[in-house]
Amino acid sequence: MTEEENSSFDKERTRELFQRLKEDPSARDELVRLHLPLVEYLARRFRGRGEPLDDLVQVASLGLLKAIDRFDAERGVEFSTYATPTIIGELKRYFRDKGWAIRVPRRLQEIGLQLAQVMPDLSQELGRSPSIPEVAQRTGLSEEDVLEGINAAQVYSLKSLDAPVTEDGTNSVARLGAEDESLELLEAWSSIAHLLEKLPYRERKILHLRFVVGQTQSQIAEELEISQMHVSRLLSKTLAYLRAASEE
Amino acid sequence: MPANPDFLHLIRTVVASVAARAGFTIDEIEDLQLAIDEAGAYLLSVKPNPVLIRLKVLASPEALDATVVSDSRPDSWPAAGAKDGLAWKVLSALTDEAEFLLEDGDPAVRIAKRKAVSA
Repeated sequence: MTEEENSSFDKERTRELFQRLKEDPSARDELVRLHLPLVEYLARRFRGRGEPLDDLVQVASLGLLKAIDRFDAERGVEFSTYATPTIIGELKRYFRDKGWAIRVPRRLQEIGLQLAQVMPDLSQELGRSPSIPEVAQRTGLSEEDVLEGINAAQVYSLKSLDAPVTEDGTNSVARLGAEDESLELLEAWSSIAHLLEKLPYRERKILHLRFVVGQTQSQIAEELEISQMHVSRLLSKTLAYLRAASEE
Repeated sequence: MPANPDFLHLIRTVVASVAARAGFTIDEIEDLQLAIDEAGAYLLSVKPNPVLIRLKVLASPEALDATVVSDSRPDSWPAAGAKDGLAWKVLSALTDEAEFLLEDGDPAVRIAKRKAVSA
């Protein structure tokens, strides 16, 4: 079968499976299986950033599952067209939450640190992702250095939890005064209790101090004698893990 | 530049650099980098293999337009079913405009992205 025939066959099969999805749980597995090539293809585009391909495929698969759950077959869009940005988004988010996964030269680490300090504030002030000149102006770095720093470090990982951005693109500013995400998390506390048990002590401690005691990240950092940035990173990572695990 | 995967990195860097200068947001730059990478990788995979590829970047206050041009001479361009392929999914997901075209007889992939916020 040529790739072309294969592709139109898959499209029909996908449509059929989505029609059956409500009554037939096995249709979901079949949908996943059918779209694994897409998942692997997209995961491969993110190679060379210091993460094993297997992990990337896992992340991309999570994106696929989300896409399957959210897809509305009535809208007349091809599923793969809908799923592609969802999966790419998942992969991008993964790298943002990842921190320094790759060894980078000291100069770039320092630039990264500087960027990490200003980016959350800047994003919050602007209500969107900042542009390079905006970051350069704030840090006093050259635009080249900013660009290099961002490319090397994916500094988004250091975005503060205090400035959450939801998946539907609502920006931080629009969320000011809205319900804190952490409250929802507390509501769901009981349902994730068994997951909390699996967390390392320090991660549990941070969650406790942040959401139960209500300390700021800086206070937690002081108490645990680690940097605020490290707290922020651990928090994002832990929450991402809990979110993913509780959705399963 | 040589049609070699090592040079795709250069294309990516140039596009990011121009986009940064043009005031694109970091999110948008990331999308552009992924898209141009995809465009380049797609052209490198075309048979017969190209020897050289060219990159053209046009930045306006509102948008960035980038075209990767190959010197390959495939039997047909775009290949039948190109728009059913995975590369096309990626290109169209990341950009506002994407097309396979012939530039003076050379196979090329063009992408364009508009700024969400004008600076």
